[in-house]
Amino acid sequence: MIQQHFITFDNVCKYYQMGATRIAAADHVNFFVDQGEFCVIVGPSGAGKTTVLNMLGGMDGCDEGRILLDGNVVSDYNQRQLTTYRRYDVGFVFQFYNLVQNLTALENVELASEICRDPLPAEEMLQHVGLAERMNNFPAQLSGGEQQRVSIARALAKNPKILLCDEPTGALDYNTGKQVLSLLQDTCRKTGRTVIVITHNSALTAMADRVIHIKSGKTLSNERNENPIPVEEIEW
Amino acid sequence: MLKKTYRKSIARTIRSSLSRFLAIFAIVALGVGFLSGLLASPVDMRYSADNYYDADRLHDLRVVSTLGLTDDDLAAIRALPGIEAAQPARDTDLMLFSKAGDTYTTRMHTLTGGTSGSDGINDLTLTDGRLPTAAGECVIILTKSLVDEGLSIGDTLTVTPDNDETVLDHAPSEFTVVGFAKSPVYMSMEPEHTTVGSGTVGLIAYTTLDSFSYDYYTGIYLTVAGARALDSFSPAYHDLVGGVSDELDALRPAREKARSQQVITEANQKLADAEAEYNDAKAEADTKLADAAQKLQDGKTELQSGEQKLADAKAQIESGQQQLDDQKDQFYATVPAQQKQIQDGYATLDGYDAQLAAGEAQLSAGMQDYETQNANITGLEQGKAATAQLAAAFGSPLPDTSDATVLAALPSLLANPALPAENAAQLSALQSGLSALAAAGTTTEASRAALGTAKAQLDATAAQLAAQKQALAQQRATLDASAAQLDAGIRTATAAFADADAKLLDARAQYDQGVKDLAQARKELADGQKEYDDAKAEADTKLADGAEQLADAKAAVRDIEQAEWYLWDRSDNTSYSSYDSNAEKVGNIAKVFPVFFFLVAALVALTTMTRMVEEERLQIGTLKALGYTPGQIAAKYIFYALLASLLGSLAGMLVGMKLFPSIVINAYNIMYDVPQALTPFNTEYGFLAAGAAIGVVLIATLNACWAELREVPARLLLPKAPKAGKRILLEYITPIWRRMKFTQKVTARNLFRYKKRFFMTVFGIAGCTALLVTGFGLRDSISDIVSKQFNDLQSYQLMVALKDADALNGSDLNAILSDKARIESFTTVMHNEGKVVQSGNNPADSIVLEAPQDIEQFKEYFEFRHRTNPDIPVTFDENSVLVSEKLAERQHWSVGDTITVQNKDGKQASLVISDIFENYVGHYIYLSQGAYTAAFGEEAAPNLLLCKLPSGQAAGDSALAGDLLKCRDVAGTQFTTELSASFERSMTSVNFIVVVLIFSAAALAFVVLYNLTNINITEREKELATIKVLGFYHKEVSSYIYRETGVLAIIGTLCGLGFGVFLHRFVVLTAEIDRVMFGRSIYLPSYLWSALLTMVFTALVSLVMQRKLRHISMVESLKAPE
Repeated sequence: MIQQHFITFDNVCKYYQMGATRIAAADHVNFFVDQGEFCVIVGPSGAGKTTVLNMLGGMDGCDEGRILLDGNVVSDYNQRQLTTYRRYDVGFVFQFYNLVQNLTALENVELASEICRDPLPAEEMLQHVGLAERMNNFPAQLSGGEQQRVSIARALAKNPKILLCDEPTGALDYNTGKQVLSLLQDTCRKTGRTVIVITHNSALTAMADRVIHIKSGKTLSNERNENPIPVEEIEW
Repeated sequence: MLKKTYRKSIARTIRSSLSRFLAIFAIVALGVGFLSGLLASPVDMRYSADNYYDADRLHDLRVVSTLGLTDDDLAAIRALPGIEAAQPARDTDLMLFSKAGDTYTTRMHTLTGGTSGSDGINDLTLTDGRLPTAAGECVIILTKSLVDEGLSIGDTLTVTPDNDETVLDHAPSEFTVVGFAKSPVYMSMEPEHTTVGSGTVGLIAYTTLDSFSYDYYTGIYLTVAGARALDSFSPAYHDLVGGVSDELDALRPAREKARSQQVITEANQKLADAEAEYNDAKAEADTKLADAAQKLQDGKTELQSGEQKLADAKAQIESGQQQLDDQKDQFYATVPAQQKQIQDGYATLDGYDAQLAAGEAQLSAGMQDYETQNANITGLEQGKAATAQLAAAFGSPLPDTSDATVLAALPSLLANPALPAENAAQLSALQSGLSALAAAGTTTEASRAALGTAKAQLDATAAQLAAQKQALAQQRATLDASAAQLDAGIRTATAAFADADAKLLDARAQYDQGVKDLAQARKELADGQKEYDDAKAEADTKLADGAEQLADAKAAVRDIEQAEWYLWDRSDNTSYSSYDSNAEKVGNIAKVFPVFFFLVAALVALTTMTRMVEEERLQIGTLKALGYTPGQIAAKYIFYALLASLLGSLAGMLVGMKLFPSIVINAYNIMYDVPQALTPFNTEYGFLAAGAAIGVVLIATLNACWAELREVPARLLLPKAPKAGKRILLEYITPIWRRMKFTQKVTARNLFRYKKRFFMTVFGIAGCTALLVTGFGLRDSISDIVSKQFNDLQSYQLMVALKDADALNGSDLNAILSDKARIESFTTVMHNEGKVVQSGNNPADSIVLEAPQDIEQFKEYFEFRHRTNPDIPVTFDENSVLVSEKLAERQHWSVGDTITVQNKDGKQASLVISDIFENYVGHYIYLSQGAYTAAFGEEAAPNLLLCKLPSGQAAGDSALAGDLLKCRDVAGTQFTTELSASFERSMTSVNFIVVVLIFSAAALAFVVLYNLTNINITEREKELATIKVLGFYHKEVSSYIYRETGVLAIIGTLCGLGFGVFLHRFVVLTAEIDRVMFGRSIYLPSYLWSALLTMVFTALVSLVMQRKLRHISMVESLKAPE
């Protein structure tokens, strides 16, 4: 049964009107993710990853099909319900961290936790990501990796159902990227939270519990990786 | 040179950032509009007035002479070069009286021009009716303060009141209103002063020159050739007119001398005539008096002879009376004796009669006694005879019949039983009779004899008595005759006396008449004498007067001063100069108002362009890398800014230069009569404003470009490190910072992060609020005049001006004043319109000197208080000199200063100010009657009544005013409601200004807030997208931004409220009319409204910006930083 899965994309389509032609950014996307899985959605540029991310993250609706999360039909939500959904169910990690420059690391985390029902303590989260010492620094005073970790702490502090990461290593160097991915994997393992990483780097598939390949707006595959390897062992 | 592609890039930039372009455009338009409009306003005010002056040909110069001007003068003036036209006039100030009982202090001009557009001087613009064409017709001039004054066409105004038959020399007895017109001479509502009537002109009219028959002119109006082409307010004009004025000055000594000579000659001639007349009159009077005196003398003589005659007659009458009285006395003295004699006679007779009667009574008693005895005796004798018979019968005849025998026989007889019963009674009676006689010792026979004797005696006595009776009757007859004789004598005498009395009475009556006639004659004579005396006194007085007048006239002729010319140009015209000074005030305001528009414009341009340059940092770097010079790169932004500010300037100029001058001119038309608001485009100010605005924007743009253009391309190609977060001061105040909510912290940080924006917004909002405070405050200020002056300070509703203090004795006036249903109470004041004796540069203000008759009572009619410090009372006592606030302010007076003022009659006095009191309309100096008298040396007789009307009394009750005006010596009435209404009217135009200010404020707020919010949103688009992704509801996203706007708006509003107070103070002080003090305070509602409106504007901008906020796509958050 479809409902048994934590996240389900059921024949989801998304179209964009470009002049006279209609382009399908998502063309009957089908996949599912189970709870607690570390899922990597991988595909080349322009494959429709971001479209999937937008829809899954509640930033955009779909034109056809159904999106379910934890038994709720997200695709039926209106704008306000979508906001509520983003607020309580989704933790978002951006490629460019998107920290508020005018707030310290701690405050950036608090920015998110302030609006949640049962947030996790911001200090703990920063401790969790290893930034206990830098809590009161402004983003400009932090390195890229540190900023991304603040971003993850911010996402986690909301105590979301899923953690949605958009190219979390895209703006980071190799080693720092690895550290961030390691943090995400650890988080998934330790907290049992469902983590979805969207990337164009297929090397990352090795560390995932589930790998979803997307190309030209279509799902090519949705496979469970029974033997994920720690990120440290992956080379790319 | 800009390359084609580059130009395209610029065009696209403008299209893509239209709101930014519009922000610069709008603020520049606003700034330029305000500056150019306000700068042009005074120019246009003067231009419009000049246009009116030119159209109706206001005189450039006016010549007035103390001795009048003649045709020779006129000809001489006309002959001067530079004179375009000269028209003589016989302007006269006089009192006019309407049938309705109104009194008008009138300035009666004579026409020097025609209707508007004719070639005369001081043409009139008819609003109704026609111009006067014949003597005695007049057209009423309507000004801002003198509306129709209750007159209509066809009304007649007499030069003297109804009850007065005197006529004025050289003037028609009445004027008929034939029309209404406006005159360029009286463009303002400032009062004109005069020496007649109330001291202030209450009616201005024009009549024909021949209405007044003086043989001279009072003035000559001139226009200067070429002056019309110049602006009346310009130095060039004053130079030109000044030149002609100098020519007149040169002409004047000769003319003055000629005129003086003429007047003196004429006066001497008149004096000679008068002297001759006087002498004739004196001679005639003397003759007449002499005749009268002669007549009186004759009368006196006649009277005296009459008196003599009368005295003689009186003596005669008195002697006649005396004689008569003597005769009467004499006569009446004898009559009583005679009468007594007769009466005595009668008394004696009566005595005799009584004696006779007594004798007769004695006689008759004697007779009766005789008869009784006779009968007794006779009975006895018969008894004896009977006894004898019986005795005989029985046999025992009786020896004799003597008594003794009989008596002796009787018992036996009686005892004889044969004696009949009837004889027994007779015999027993006889027995007792005889026994009685015997006892008396007598007998029947003796008694018979004695009886005989007595009878004879009685008879003799009877005879004697009869003889006596006879004698008495004879005597009575004699007495009666003499009594009758006496009566006849008296009657005759009485008749004679009565006759004499009547005659005397007659004579007396005749005498009385004579006396009366004489008294009449005497009275007539006395009257004649009095008449004569009066006539003489009168003649003497008249002659003395005549002599006095003659002496005076002689002195006057001696004292005739040299004629003196006064040359007046337009600056001496009240409306011209006050209008000019008001234009200057507007100019002053124009220098201040636009300053913050420019300040804000600079800030807007700076933030906007900085933002733009920052946004295009990458492009700049690329261009620089491609080899474009900094100049070429900067050119884009400069061109962009130039275009926006150029278009803005153009729009601003076009709208501002039309809008503001017409608003200002129309607003000033509350007080002035400028028929047409002309607002020509003023190139000079246009360029000035545009240049300033464009310059400011360009400098801001260059400043924005400078930082970027200095950098090397390599760094420009890197994304600019986002402006690092910084701790703000507030964070170090841990207790506060810790308590603040998270979102508040963000707001606080952001506020202090962008200082330029902070100041721009605070400045803009403060400007907006300040404008609103000024606008609403201006309304408060003007409504204060009405509410404070006419409600708080003055508690009377009616003023009644008196011609003389004697009016208070008038019964009609007292009847009205004591009628509580019409006038509740009143107080009396001396009211004198004088002026300040000018010192230094202070204006020669007209003032009102008032001295209440009862100071304590007066305080119930006017509340003396300090405006700024109402807790300290103003003392008004015998020694006080209280000065109204505005006057003190204008003259720079303060308490304790010694000031010199002049009253209506030109008497000057120095006073020491004891206090300054709150007052809004007019300049007043209050002092006690004693102080006034002491200072001016004249009595402070009350000539003004301040009346409180009963509550509920219809305000402006014209019936009451009419009745009051009918009273003796009442000069006029004014309800305070009439005054307050005129101030309330001016409120409407202030409302207009308030609306303009509100719109300006709104425009300012919109431009600034729109621009700020726009920049704020675009600059933080990614941040906003991120928080949207984080699940902030739309409301939370809005408040994330608007909380900052809100705080800025509040700070700005608070600053603006403070700044507004100063702006308001400045505008009020600059815009105030000379005689009126505006309220200086702004009330709470005005502050609240200003703050509220600012908030509403802020909310409106926020509402508009909501759309933009809503349209921020969350996908932005996924993009790389710029």
